Amino acid sequence: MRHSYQLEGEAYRLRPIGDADADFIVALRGQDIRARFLNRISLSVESQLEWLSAYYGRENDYYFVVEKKRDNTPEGLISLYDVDVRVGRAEWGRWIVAPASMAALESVTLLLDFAFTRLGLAEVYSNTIAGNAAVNSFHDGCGFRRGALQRGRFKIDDQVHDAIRHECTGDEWKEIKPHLATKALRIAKRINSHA
Amino acid sequence: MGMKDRSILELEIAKLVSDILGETVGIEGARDTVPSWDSLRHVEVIFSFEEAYGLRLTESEMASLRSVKDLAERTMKG
Repeated sequence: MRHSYQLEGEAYRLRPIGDADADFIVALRGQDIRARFLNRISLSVESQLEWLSAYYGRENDYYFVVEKKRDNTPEGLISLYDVDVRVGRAEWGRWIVAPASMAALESVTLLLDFAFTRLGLAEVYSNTIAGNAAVNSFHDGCGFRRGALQRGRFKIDDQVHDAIRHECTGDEWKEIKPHLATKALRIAKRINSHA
Repeated sequence: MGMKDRSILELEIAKLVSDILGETVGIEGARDTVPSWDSLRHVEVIFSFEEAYGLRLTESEMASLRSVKDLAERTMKG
């Protein structure tokens, strides 16, 4: 959807995605060494614009660009989607951070804080391909709770993949956030000191 | 610093990374091949590495130093 949320962190912000970001999306997905774990989308600007056009029409979908505050450089993408306000749940994902960026921790912290504090959701979850050990390790390390294995959740190049679901309630987030925020702040201080 | 010193350095750094990850990482260890060396633990690796060797990495170095060998190389630069 065409939302107007701009979420300011210490070194990074999340801002609404727009058509002007199509080039960036293509470049980011193209350079990501973990691209084999991403749902395949045609890596062309035209197809991205088409995808974004459909996204603007979805009311329960918040797609953000992760941007460095110091110089407005885009360094990643992250989304909260399938937002069900009736039951207070949403999925987060489409998360990619450039290999040369340190935005991972702060981008996740900003997005989950948005979900729980701004939207007032009760629970968020993510689905990660079971073979994507590094991202699953990240979720485990953050303290997100493993849910049921999602059998055949993803199909990439005609191959079906199981997914590991990680869940986090609002109460759990209150426990997890301080640990992530402390590390993110330490990174942010360093990044901002290089200004 | 000679070849032997570099080997020792790599072993030291592999030990530092292993202690943080809670699993044995060899001198060939790298983020791309050791899944537990994820974005979260990389922050811990970087700051522990700086403290151990009295270094202060630049922003781009924090992200681009992705292996035991990269870290050893950076240490040798001083």
